[in-house]
Amino acid sequence: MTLNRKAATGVVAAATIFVLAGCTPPEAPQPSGTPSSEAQGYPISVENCDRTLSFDSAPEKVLSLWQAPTEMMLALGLGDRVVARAGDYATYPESVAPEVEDIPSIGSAMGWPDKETVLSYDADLVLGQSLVGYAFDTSMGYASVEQLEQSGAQVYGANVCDADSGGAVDMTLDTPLDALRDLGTIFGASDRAEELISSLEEQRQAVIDAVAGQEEVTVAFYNGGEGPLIVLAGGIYDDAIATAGGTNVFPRDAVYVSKEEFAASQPDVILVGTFEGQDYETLSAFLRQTFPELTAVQEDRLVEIPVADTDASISVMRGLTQIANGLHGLDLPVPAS
Amino acid sequence: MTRADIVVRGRRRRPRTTILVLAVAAVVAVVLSVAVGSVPIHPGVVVGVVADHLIPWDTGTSFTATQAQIVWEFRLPRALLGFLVGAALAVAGAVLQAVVRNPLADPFVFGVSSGASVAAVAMLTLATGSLATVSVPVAAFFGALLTTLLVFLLAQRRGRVTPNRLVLAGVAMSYLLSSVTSYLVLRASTPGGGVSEVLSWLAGSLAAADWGDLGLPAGVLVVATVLLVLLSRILNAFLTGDETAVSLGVDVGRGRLVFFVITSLLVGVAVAVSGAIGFVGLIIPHAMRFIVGTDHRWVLPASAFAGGLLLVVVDIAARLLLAPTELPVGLLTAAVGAPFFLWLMRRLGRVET
Amino acid sequence: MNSETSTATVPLHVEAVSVDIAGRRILHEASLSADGDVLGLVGPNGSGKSTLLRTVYRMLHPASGRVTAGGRDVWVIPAREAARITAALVQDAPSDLELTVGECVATGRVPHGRLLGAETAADRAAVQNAMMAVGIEAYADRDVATLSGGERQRVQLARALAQEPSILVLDEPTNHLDVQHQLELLSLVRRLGRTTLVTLHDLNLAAAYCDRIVVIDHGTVIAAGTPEHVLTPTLLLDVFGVHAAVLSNPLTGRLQLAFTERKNL
Repeated sequence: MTLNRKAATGVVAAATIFVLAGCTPPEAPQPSGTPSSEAQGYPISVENCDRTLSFDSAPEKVLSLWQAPTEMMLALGLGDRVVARAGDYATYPESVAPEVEDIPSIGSAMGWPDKETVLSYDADLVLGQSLVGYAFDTSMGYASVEQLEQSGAQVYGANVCDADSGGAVDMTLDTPLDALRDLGTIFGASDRAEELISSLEEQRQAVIDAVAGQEEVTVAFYNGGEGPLIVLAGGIYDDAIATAGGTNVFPRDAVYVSKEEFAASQPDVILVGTFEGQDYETLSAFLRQTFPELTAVQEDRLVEIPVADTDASISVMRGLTQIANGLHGLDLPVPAS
Repeated sequence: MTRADIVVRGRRRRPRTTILVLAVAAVVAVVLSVAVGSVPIHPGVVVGVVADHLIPWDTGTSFTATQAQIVWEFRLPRALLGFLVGAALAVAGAVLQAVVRNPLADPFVFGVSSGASVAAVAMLTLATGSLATVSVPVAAFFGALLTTLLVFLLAQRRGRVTPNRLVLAGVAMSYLLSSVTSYLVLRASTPGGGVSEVLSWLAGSLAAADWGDLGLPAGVLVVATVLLVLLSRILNAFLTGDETAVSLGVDVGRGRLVFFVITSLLVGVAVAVSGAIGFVGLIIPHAMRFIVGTDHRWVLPASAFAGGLLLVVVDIAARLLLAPTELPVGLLTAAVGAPFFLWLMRRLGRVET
Repeated sequence: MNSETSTATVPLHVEAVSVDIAGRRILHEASLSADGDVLGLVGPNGSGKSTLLRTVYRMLHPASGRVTAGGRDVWVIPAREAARITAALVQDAPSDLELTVGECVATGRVPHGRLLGAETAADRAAVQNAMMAVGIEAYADRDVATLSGGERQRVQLARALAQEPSILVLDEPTNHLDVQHQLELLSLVRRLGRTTLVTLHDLNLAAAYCDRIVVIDHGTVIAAGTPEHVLTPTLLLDVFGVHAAVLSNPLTGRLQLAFTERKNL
């Protein structure tokens, strides 16, 4: 989703500069962590982005600055501990939508709440998407991770440690599972977490089983733009595509692609990613009109994929399933959201 | 030195020859732009595709449908559009610099580009569904025109418009509209906001060119340039200062308005299809004045060809430098043009007192 | 040197012209006439000299009265035609022009051009002659901005001459000129034999080179006539606030004035 696109944009920018300077982007640390003492029993600690977060007891006041961890908290039955939320990017999945109304939203159209607001909540734990920039971007007037830690909160980066230096490209389908696991550990809700993780893994396995033996297809993941075209690649997108038995025709760091590149790429299937506010009909009409020579267009192998379903969230297997269906013409039931 | 030499020659090169050279260079650049790209296509195939479209009988070259599409549907209109946009911006810049007697004037100092940008970005970020993609160029065009009109009205005082007031009003409007655009970009930067498209538009790009985009810019460019060359004596008079121009029989008030309208059409049409590509309108006229002198009979056509040439060449670089990633052409125009201009300034520049 | 007296001169009449600027009346029903002679307009600073000149070359529209050139109202005939008859050398022309001298002088042909803008042999000849008359043909390729103030004045004069006007309006043409060029310029203007209206702040130059003089003070014409007639000690004290003695220039025999400040006597 746009998390990845924005991160990917940052990646392209950073990668461009590094390529020009003759360097390569450094490997970004992954946020996943394992409890270092017995599960469930406090005190516990969790590794997150090369830091150790220690908890004597389950945090009581949680501030979630990104929709994906908010959903996770709700799915784990921990919604009552979330004092406020921000960073919403799509309609909430049905399974958690009613309860999310009880959590006040403090974000705005412009982004995240300023540092005074955030600090005023006096939260024990702040959940963010990336520890660098975005909700913690001091140049935008947000509280930084250090400032929050000084005020007594611990900060957890749910998806990426540093989106600016390549973290997003390394996200995989496991990323949300790891986050769920960490949250389970932190809140002593590991049982519930493992339940959720198992069901998600089952959904993944269902896809893997269904596509085994299917021929691999080449895929382009289009997300708007009439020139240059915007494509989704790397990170969860590529992991989902690969798991679903496909390969992305564009490299991991591709964001903007010229029309002639797109025409020459000749994908077997074109996934059309839509986020809220984008209209599939318009996007697909543009593709049909501009690339009538592409086989995928002629055989009408254009598939709508709501990008929110490919984010590192509890809905990620929906995206995977829809992609698998689209790539191979399958009819797997899409998991409920 | 004969009598005839006194006025015509001197350190300015022969203008007619210069214009011819520029025109030929522009054609070569267009041809090159069609022949190269991030997808390698053999020159023979390129020629074959073009010939196939232009010559009624079978030329015998074989090419795939994709190659044909790339060459004819993508590269050729893009190269032509690059020429048209570059020419339009350069001509507009030359006229505006004369009309406000300010060598730092460029088409964007009057708020034109910020007007087009705010309209386009608003359309990209606020309009939903099918409305958005159809109307972005239209929105940009009208944004450009409305802004110039507003600037012109704001610069009026007791029915007169002085160059300084025009520049001031334009700059103030630019700042105002830029801040609105920044706000819209900020909104778009949040998840689901579609910032990539917005950023791409703002950086200025020819990547979306197709044949349908060419008609209006071509028409406006040709008509406007012809008109302006016919009026070039008036532009020359503007250079001598308002009072002298009046004493030469020029209606400076009406002249400013007419030139303003013509240049806003030129710039509006350019910005509508390609976003705000800077530098061309500012520097090309200067470079041309160094070479062919200040008589607008020569400056205008020279600027048109030079501006078109520059943009086509820069676009080739934009497509090839970091292939397969495309750089927005607006980023590169200055990178390519500035060193050349600095060199030109040292070689031919004016002798300072 | 060419520039001979033209055979038929065109008369200039300023008839009871009044001008308002920002609600204030700057010029009160000023009148003057010239026909083939050099008419000097003198007066203290702020008296309205430049304002009057501006009504002649169409920079300021009179609130009442009219200006005629060859009997035709300059504000009624098309601007281009007026510019073919009357050429002006304005005060404080911008000095940062990008033009070369040749290009600047060539702009004098603007009123004569047909729309197709082709430069005709007549255009080239006019520019040639103008530059040679003023003596700047060697500067043809120099940028105007690199010239001294005096040289720029001469370029402006050449530009005015390139218009081939029948009437010349010169606003302080001797500003910034050294004494040699002051005398040469005014002597050239006399030789041209065209109807000329010139403002001068140097009264001796006016006395030496003008056929007649008009004195203007606070927007009103105070006196008009030959220098001897007009530049009397009484008027000079009254209008200019100086004591003057009227002498005769030993070199030319023409009227010469000597001044001293008011308080000395």
